[in-house]
Amino acid sequence: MAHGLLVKNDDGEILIDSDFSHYHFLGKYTHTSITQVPDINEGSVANAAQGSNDYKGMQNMPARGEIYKFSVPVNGAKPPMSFIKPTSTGSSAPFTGIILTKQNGTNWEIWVFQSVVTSASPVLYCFAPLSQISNSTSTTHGLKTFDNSGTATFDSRFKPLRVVGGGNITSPTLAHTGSTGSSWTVSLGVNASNVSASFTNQSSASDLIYYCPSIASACQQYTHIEADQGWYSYTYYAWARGDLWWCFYRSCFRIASTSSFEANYGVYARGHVYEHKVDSTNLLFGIVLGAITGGAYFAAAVALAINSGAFTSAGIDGGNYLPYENSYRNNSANAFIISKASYYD
Amino acid sequence: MTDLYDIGSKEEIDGQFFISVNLHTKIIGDASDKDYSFSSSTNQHMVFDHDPTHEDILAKAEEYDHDFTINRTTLKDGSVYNNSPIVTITEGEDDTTEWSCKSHKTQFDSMLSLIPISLNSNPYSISKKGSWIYIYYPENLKPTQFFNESETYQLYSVRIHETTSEVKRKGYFRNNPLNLAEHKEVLGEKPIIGTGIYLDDNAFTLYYPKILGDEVDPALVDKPYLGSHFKDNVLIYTREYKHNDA
Repeated sequence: MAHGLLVKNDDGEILIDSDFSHYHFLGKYTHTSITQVPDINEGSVANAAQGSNDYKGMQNMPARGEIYKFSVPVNGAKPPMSFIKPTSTGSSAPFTGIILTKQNGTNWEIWVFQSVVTSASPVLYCFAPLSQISNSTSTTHGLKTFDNSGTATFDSRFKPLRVVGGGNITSPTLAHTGSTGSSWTVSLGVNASNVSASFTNQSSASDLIYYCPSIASACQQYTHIEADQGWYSYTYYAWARGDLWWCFYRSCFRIASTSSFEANYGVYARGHVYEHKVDSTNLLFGIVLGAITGGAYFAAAVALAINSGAFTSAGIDGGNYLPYENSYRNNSANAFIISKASYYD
Repeated sequence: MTDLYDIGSKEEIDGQFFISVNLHTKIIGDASDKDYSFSSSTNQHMVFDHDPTHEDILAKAEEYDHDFTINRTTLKDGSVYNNSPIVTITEGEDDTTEWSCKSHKTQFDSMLSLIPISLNSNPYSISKKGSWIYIYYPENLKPTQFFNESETYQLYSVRIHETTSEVKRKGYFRNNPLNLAEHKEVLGEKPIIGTGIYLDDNAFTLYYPKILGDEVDPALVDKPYLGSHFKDNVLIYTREYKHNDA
């Protein structure tokens, strides 16, 4: 660096670098709307009198989390860093994570996913480069740096982002471990153990805010196919039924204590499609069992349900909410940064 | 290869093996080819820290409480199904045996080949008495070849003469919906469980439990019952129906 300012701490870590666009406090935001991914539930019954008609809805499925939508006014190419002030902290707190950040006109739209529905709502503390902040101040003292183009990169008058802790955290692999169901009873609730990572101890957990976008996902399913035929009350019966239940989970996080950050999953989307065939007009049992088309039917039923207007009404894009089966993606090396709300309140 | 399960997908991530496996359940014993049958397949996911062996998958299935076999001989309502053939016993006559298309396919097919006319649909069961071959159809397999739209019953039988091809028809109701009361003077007060109406003769049959007080499903023949045949309101004979091991 031929010119400029470089400030380091005793450990040699850079605190201020005039060549770097430091992030400064943009504002504190509350959500503009709350939504959930609509349930995907599709199936038909040829004859409800034959075969079990139970559990054709979302019975026994784990509850969905909810999505808080924020609209952050920051016009520029660089997205704001959005820190979450959770509704609560500790071992019973919900898990929360940012699942979407996209530019929408002169605003950036931020979606915060929370694993359970609560009466209180998370709040966002957002930060952006100075070039994207239009604040003004009458304070005439402090420290301001510029890069070699003359662009301001740091200004102590506009509440620079102060990091008090951070690290990497790895989400659990699968959200649900063990058996996923029995007969028509599905079991896909999140039961994975929380994963924790420590950070520099702070005085108050409830004052902490964190930046940790959700990048991990898991998708797990349970299918059950049953067929039956026989002779009952003067009537020959033959039916077959196949069901597919699944949950798509997103990783999310919480402040567990003054020095512990935890990761786990919440149910982002869920679905249940089923095929029920009755053919008692033929004594050849194989016909009705063969009428269950399994995967082909399930794929078509999922697509049909996703094309429904329910997604538009919920402000959610219809998408592939059954992207893979019984696996997970991107669960490791999720960086997190801790700061304090009281610095900016 | 195993018929206990089939693997739908297998994925290795960071040294862990994620497997979707369809676990099958079959009926054990000799019930699988009987009138009543059942099958199921359940898809589970399993995680291993190594590429699992056959034994690993079986052990995990056991951990998940999966039953690869069930011993199921009960019907939809929980009653136990008796799969032995139904015999008809008439005093002074040879016993006749009714063969089911599902349970006794060899005997059924052999007897079916004796029918001198072509059938539009196969019956559920068949028996032979003298030169007459009796075929039976359940309610939802009504043989429209022999019964018109208004001739609706809960069970159908057709009697076909082996050499002349003559056809005689009979329809059955559960209980006694026609309130045929003539039998009381002859049979006494009986709990009528079924009524058979001859469509080509002035005749009917009333069915009632062999042991008074028994609850009998005449479609299943879960307990022995009797059938008293009246022609021109005169009792001609009484037959007993039961499974041949009852």
